Amino acid sequence: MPYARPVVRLIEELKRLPGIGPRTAQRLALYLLSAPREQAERLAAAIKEAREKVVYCSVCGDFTDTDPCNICADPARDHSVICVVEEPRDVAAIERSGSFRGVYHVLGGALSPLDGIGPERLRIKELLARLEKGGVAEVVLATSPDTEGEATALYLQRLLEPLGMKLSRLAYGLPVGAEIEFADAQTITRAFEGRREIK
Amino acid sequence: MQLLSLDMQDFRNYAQASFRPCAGLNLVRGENAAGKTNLLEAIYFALCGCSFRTVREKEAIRNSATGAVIRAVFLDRGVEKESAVQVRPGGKTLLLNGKEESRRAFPGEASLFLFRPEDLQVVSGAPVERRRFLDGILSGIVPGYRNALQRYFRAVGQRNALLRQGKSRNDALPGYDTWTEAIVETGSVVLNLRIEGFRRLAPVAASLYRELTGRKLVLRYLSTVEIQESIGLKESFLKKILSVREQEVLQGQTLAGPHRDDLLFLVENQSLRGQGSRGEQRAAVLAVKLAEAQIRAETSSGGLLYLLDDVFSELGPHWRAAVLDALKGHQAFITTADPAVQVGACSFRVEAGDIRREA
Repeated sequence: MPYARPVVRLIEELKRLPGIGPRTAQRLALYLLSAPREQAERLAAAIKEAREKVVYCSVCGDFTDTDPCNICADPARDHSVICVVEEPRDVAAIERSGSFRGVYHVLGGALSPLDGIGPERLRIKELLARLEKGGVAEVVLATSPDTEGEATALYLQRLLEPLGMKLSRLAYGLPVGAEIEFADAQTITRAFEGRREIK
Repeated sequence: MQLLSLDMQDFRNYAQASFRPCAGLNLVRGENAAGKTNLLEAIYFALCGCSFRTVREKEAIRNSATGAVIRAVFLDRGVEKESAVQVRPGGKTLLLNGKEESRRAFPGEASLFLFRPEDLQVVSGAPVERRRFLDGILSGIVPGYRNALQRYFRAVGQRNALLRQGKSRNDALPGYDTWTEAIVETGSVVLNLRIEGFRRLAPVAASLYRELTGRKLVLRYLSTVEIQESIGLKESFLKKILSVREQEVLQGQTLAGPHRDDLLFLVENQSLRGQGSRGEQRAAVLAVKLAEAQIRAETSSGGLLYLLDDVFSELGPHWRAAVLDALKGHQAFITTADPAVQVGACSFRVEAGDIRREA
């Protein structure tokens, strides 16, 4: 027997979410209907609130509920170093490490003609505008080490080279805490290419 | 690498079959469509976790059955291991020593040498088949080749997508320089590795061919990029790719680079593609495959397992002896439909989904 219309609609909406297939969508919908009413309402309210309050930071492009975001507004951070990343989740990952005290610039993706993403679809104009204002000594290109991330870094490198500030790229190598024997061949090859002298 | 036992359930035409091979040469006899290739496929499955024949692996489930199971016990560098592959219509499960694992945990292609009768058609076939043939061989003898190739293909796919946009837009392509640089960068790595592998492979193949036929075999790599010594590989590649830009935009495809290169087989300075007889073409391909086997046997640490499907048909006694010579000291599985083949090996007969040891 088919579900009632509101249930079908809920399932359809859930199915649009990334990583959710028809069966998971159905399970989630039925769960939300059988769970206490307040729980479902809390979820609905959380989604609504997040969408209303969270905006893109006008400086770095990260998600934020205050504009500019906490990082861009923090005078204790080093505003002369900008770390360029693909997605907001990359900012979150780097922040968790606590290893970087500069500021960020979120591109909103990586170059990928297969997905119709060219340079004009990324927040590159905004990056140039930030650099033009001056005061930036270094740009760290922290896009992913895959084909698209590499191409994006290459594009930015060619674009920014004439501006004269220091450009750097995150190192490739072995994951910390991992054993060499379990690393894949490509990672090991890259780690050898990027080895450094310790004297 | 040595296979100790193999058990199949509902795999291809085998409802239930057990196979206990010998350590050395194993001859698998049977009529056409008796299940000889299926047996090789099952061995490959057990060591690699996938099929060499199809990507739609559920085809391998016997008609009317709900799933296929292959279990194998083998010696990997002297250590006994046990693998199980379960193929269901909805997917497959791979087990190594009773634990669920991904395909990467399996010994994989590096542990075996595969010869398929389809290989013999590469001389007369399309360039893409020759590239695939060469890539398959080089992946086994040049470290890092497979990865380099994948990176290059990915970049070419992106660049082609960009070029296709150019067809409709007819203006400057944003990102064109970047993607061009990306394929020059990754493509140069592929070309360098290809040249390196080619320099090892070609002389060995030529000397095997001379030994067996008394004639001169030359393998020539035909590159779409003419490498000018004065400016080096990368610059030559870049120059070439910039020179075809207009055609590329028209066709929406990257037109130069290792993905468009070809391989030429020359015997006594004549291309085998147009002039060669079937027999000559087979001999040339077999010489290249034997060269691969020889190079890999020298470099592989764990020893190779050989799967040779129908390698003996239409082959003179010289060549049979050369093939057998290459297999010395390794475990090998050779299928044949020819009752006249005698190689002094453990012999098995495959018939109607049953495998029996012959006296």
